[in-house]
Amino acid sequence: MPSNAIKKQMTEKKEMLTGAQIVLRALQDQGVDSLFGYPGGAVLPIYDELFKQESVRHILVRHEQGAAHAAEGYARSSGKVGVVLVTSGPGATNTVTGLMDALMDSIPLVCITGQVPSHLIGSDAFQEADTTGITRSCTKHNFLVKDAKDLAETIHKAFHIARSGRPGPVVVDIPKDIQFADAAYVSPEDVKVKTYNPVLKGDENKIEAAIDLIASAKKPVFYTGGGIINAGPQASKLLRAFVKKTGAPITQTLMGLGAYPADDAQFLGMLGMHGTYEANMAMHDCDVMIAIGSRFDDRVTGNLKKFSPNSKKIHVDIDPSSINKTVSVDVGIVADATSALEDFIKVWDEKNVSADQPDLSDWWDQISKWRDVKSLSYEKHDTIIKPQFAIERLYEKTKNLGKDVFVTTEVGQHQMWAAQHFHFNNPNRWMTSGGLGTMGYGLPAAIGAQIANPGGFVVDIAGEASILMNIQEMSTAIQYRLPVKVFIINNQWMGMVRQWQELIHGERYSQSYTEALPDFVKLAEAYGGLGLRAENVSQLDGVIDQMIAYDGPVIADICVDAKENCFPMIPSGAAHCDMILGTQSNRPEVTKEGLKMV
Amino acid sequence: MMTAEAQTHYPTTDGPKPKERFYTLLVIVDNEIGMMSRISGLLSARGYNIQTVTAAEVNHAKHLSRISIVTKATPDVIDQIVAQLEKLIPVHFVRNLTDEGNAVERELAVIKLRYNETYKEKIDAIAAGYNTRILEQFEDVIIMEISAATARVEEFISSVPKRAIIDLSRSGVVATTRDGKAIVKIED
Repeated sequence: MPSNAIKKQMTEKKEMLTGAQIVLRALQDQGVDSLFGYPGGAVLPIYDELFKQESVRHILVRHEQGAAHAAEGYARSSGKVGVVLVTSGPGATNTVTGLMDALMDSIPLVCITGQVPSHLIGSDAFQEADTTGITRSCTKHNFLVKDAKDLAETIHKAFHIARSGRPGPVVVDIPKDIQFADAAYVSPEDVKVKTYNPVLKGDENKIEAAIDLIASAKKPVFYTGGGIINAGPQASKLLRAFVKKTGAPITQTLMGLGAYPADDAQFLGMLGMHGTYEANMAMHDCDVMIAIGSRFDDRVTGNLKKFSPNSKKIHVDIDPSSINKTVSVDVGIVADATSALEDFIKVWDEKNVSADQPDLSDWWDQISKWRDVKSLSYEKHDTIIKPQFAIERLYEKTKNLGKDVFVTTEVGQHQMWAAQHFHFNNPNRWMTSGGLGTMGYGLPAAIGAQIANPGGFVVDIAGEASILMNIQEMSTAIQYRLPVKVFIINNQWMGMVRQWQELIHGERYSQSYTEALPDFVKLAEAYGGLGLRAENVSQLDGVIDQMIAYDGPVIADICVDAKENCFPMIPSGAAHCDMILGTQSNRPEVTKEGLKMV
Repeated sequence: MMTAEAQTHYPTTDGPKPKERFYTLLVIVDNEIGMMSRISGLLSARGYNIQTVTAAEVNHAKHLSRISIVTKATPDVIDQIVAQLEKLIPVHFVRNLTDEGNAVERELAVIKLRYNETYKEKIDAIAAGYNTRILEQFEDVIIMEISAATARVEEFISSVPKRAIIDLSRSGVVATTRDGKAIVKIED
């Protein structure tokens, strides 16, 4: 270790590096071990430096959108920043969906894009795109580096912005001449973003007010989201502790699953459009709602006018703009979830609330009546594989594997069934595109999760339509010998589209049937993986066993009941208390207003 | 002393949302490339309407710009606009001068008028009633400026015969607070 004096001397001497060297050095100093990218003309100097070193591993994807989703999967499963490296023009524009996805779901990404040399910017040069212009609305922040001397500082700022506060994607656009130019390197510890200081610690008075509300609640419910996951594993521990202290029920959003264990008696399951009856009814009827790291998304709230009409609402969020955005709350606390939960527990204990808390047994009696509805039940069949059954079997067969299980999904019915029937007891194990709803997310995200967790069992619960949107990433999985499993719930339809057309559009199935699907078994083999197929119930367990046993990428084509619908369901425009249950024959009509909703 | 002109001059309007009114916001930002695009992009992406926006660097040493925005919104929406603006990384802070209730606001208009026999007398009479200044006068054209609260500017423009107006340019609102404090330091 050099002494401080020597260190200072070294800094003062100002070691000169090329821009490309600065990029690599900055990535190393940020602790980056892996990044996901695709080379091209405007990033060749950076790729040249990547070639000369071994500490940062480059994962070559097959499409830049795949790089962004892979980085998301990496970030979500590891708690670290995901890094993307792509070229200018199409390289950058192809990442846009992934960046937007990361923005919606608060995933920390740093995306480095090459840019045409400074003197050509604005001339419609080959592979030129206004990357900072295009990505302005799909990033937390973006930078165009105009001077090599700002480069190191900019990259460090990008990491700081991406991972702190409400996390999100940050783009650093680097013209090619800057990558060749010489400049001094700046260490991360010397960099501050003076206009950006997220509040982590909640206001004491509001914490007290929140505890007073919870302490007096007769029908409390916790409603927590992805913010708990983003705050780190400690937040999940504290959440468990606090929920236990209060004795209250808890529901989680799609993004929040795993923060509170699914197998705990106080857990009501996921809430929202395809959430459980008990979760949604508890939200509707509660007297105190404790929202932590959740953002009152429209999938969660249903009709806002009828949303939890009689409750006092507490909302903890690190993003001040999330508070009172769609639902006005009684106590809004701007804070990091970890810090707020620490404070909640502290004040709860200080006030010795548990001693004279109202009895919650009536509330729990009511909840158990709602639970008796068994809203996730479905009709089993002797031979035809029900999609829910396939996921149940996958869960049963993987829950005692002896390794960490990571699940990613694509988007649609299979995603909701996975959320309902696969149970998560730990954070960072569940990666899904919640906010943006990006078909094609699951396979690259699985690749990212596997890179971050080489010893883990990673499975993408997919639909046959979604998987084709980024199927090319099978090639990436093969190249890096990543044993990711693709578990296709194959019903030959864009299932969720079909379901809406059945329920809302008079069974006119416009363009939702895929007439010419590939043979997924042969497709897996063509890529160099293992292809499996289960066509009836008797084959299902065997296929899952084979899939688990195979040490390499697998596509398992699970041919399921093509017309199964995903229930329960809050129809568009309806309230939490107006759910459609699978067993119900007379279904509530969708209102005219509801028709306009997505 | 509060004069009519020194108050916030966008009147509360009768819209479908009864509580909608005009708000004047001051946004202090790092003056970097794309800053205006970040602000206008944010406002348009979230469906907020902008009445006026003006921007200029007020601290050259630190490259700080002061952006004045007038927007029509309900109290809930204006809080959301402020929160969204404050989320932008280069934004130092946002002040809601309308809610603070002590805004001093001004708008400048430069107006080019036909100053011929038909309109001359009328224009002179109207201009005398406002804080106007003649910038240029040639042949039968006169160019005037008026600096006043927006409502007064509006009033002046609507008083001048429409056919007399050749050209009109307005600056949008700039503002400060009616107290002895700085919004942003202009030195160092």
